[in-house]
Amino acid sequence: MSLSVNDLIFGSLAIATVAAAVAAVEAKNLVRAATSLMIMSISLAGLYYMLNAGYLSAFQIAVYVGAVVSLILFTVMLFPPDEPSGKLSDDIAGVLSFVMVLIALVMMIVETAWIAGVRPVPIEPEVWSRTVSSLLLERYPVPLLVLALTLAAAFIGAITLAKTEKGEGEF
Amino acid sequence: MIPISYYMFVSAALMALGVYGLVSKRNFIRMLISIEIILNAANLNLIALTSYGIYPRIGSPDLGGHVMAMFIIGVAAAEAAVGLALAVSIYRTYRTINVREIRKLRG
Repeated sequence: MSLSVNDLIFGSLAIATVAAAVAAVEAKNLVRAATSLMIMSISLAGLYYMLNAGYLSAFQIAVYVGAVVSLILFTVMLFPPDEPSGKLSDDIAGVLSFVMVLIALVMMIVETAWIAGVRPVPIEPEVWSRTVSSLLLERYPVPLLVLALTLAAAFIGAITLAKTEKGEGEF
Repeated sequence: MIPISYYMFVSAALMALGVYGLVSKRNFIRMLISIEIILNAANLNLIALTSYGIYPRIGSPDLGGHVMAMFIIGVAAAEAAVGLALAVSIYRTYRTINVREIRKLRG
């Protein structure tokens, strides 16, 4: 079995995604963790692109790299350096849950009888955007409105939580 | 050609890593990063299943999973904003963001 270019691209993107996720969880420095989250988002966007979801990969980069990671980076700069937790019981609980979740999910994937030879269906960008917009406006209009309200409420709530009261002291 | 199960293995690895971080880390921001990883794992699953056409197609392509992934990305952005504002607010009160030390509730 020979490796095609697609397989190589998928392999490198998958390895980059998982390695960056490991670094995001395990990095000593929070700034490095946030940067690893950014690398993970970019490689995930590449995987989305391979799955014929080009607009979603652009959306992923815009939201994660543009908003979430920069928000995390600016917040991290407000705090003192991360002190290590260093509790052995926490680590044991974490590794146990990691192994259990991984075994359960991998067993589920392996045991499923996937239809062999199914490949991603190529889809024209115009058809994609027409279908998705009609889905959003005709089948899921209420979730769309709820999402808009959630975003508005979340950002107003974030500003209210983080703003300093007068005379509350400096931060 | 890549079998769909490979995408789902990547997704499973991301999910397990996110759960590991959420359980073992006690830094508030690190827990938020773990939650983002979990949400991304769910997104990858949804997009892979939809793109491989596992769901039945009636006339036009069914892209419900892509729409759900868009909703999830939006909710993740809102969650990160509120979570980080909470971290700032907690730090102002307790001078730490280690969740083990945040025990008392006060105004």
